[in-house]
Amino acid sequence: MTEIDSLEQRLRRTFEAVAAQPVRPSSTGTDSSSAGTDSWWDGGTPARAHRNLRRTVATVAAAAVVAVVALLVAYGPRSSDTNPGAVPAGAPGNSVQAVFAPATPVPQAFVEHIESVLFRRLRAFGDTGATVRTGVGGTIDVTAQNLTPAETHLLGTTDSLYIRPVLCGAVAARPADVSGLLSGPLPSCQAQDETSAANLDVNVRTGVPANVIPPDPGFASYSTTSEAADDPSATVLLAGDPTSGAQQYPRFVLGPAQLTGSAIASAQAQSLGNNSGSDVLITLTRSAATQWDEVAQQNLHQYLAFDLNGLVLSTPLIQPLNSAFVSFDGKMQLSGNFSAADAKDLAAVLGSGPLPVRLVLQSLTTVSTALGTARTG
Amino acid sequence: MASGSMPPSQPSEPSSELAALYRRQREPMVRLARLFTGSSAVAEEVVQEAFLRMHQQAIRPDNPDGYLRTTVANISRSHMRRLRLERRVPEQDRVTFNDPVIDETWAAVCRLPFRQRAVLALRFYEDMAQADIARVLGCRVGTVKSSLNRGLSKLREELS
Repeated sequence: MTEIDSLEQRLRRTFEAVAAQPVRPSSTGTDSSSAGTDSWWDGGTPARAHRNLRRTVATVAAAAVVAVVALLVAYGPRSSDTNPGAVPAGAPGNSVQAVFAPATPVPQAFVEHIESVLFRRLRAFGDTGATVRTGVGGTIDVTAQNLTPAETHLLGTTDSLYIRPVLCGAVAARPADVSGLLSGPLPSCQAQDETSAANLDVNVRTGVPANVIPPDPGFASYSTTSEAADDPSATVLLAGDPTSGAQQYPRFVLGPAQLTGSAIASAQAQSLGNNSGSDVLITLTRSAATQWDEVAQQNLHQYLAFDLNGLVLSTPLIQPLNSAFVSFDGKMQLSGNFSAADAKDLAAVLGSGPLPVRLVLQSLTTVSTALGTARTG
Repeated sequence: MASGSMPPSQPSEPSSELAALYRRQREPMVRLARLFTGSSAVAEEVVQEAFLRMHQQAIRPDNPDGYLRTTVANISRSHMRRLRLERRVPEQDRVTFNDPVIDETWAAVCRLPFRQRAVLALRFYEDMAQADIARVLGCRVGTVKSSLNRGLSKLREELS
């Protein structure tokens, strides 16, 4: 009897622990006020509807190499003010009060979703005591301990991660003061400048393309696509992150997104050891894993671009050492010169799901509770 | 290059009752489905499909929570069967913890056949009576009893 009781207790404890793992918030609206093409009831058959749902919000994947680093630390708060009374006395270290507002008006269901995502991000940052509340005028108020400027910025990003095919490289934009730059629809890449598998002609023994494809000069008159205009369904012209691995070309002409960041099931920072920094291991949802394999197979021996919030982080060549495609099994490794903190922050954002809308930081209050005084953040 | 997926045609919106059920039960059902399937990713898909079925079939059951739970159990079983994984959960999908007792127990649970795993989850996580478990899984009470005993026996052997 004792043995049975012990086993039952063990089972109860185990089930509780497994069930207590975070549940990703629904990536779509939860009531009719948020109806849209990506709502959960969307589509024809359940299976197709689900695939469409995942595709429209979907994700990324495996075994590709991405460098990110400076993106995580290059941004700081946009404004700040002081409000020393906001912090509970006796809290250790610095306390931060950040007030965000959605960049565009959103229905109440989205506000609840936004709060849920922010709370998950804060917990993933390691701030288990953080609070997220709806403030006056629809603002979203965050109170947290020791939130870094990079984390504060990351809190409000939509986590717009798109996997796009690289159509061709592009030269840098001609200086705008010479003549106005064009921002209209982009022209097609010239055939000889396309980074197609045929043009690249990858040598599977060395994993290196036989041909060096120059950047297409026809885009010199076109301005780089802004983050706000980074439409996943459109062809875009983006710059590479200056410190990342996306350095083959000054700019990249990228096709419509094949996957987005919403289908990431989990993301985890891991140390590479030997002072080699850290990377982020991503596990995709099952449907996204299948989609990623389809996309990667279609782009075998070609470049795919990882576009995060309008910057190209990396453009890995897909399986250059394989003559035939091999499944990625729903895994993806984002690696580069990440510090442990950078990798942890990136994993926190990617693993917490996307925000439906970008958040604008309205104010930031940082209070040193040890001194009881406020300072700008 | 592959092109992006096209948006589907505009669907009808769910009833307010179903929308409320979604808000109330999505997360608990994902947690339960995770115990059935051993995978968070699969659990999300299972629950998504359950709600879609209820919406598209315009079902208005007397007990929507119970109907939903049964639907989640059925889809979980079908999903595992389709993948020929009914008798075990893939190791790469299994969550792990820093607690060796929980890791060991969960690994052993994941090796059980679906019905035994589901019965154990409904009994010890949902605290359901055997008659209720039988209703959810669509089987007889005797089957629940035998599944419970066999599951516990296997775990006792593996964990002793």
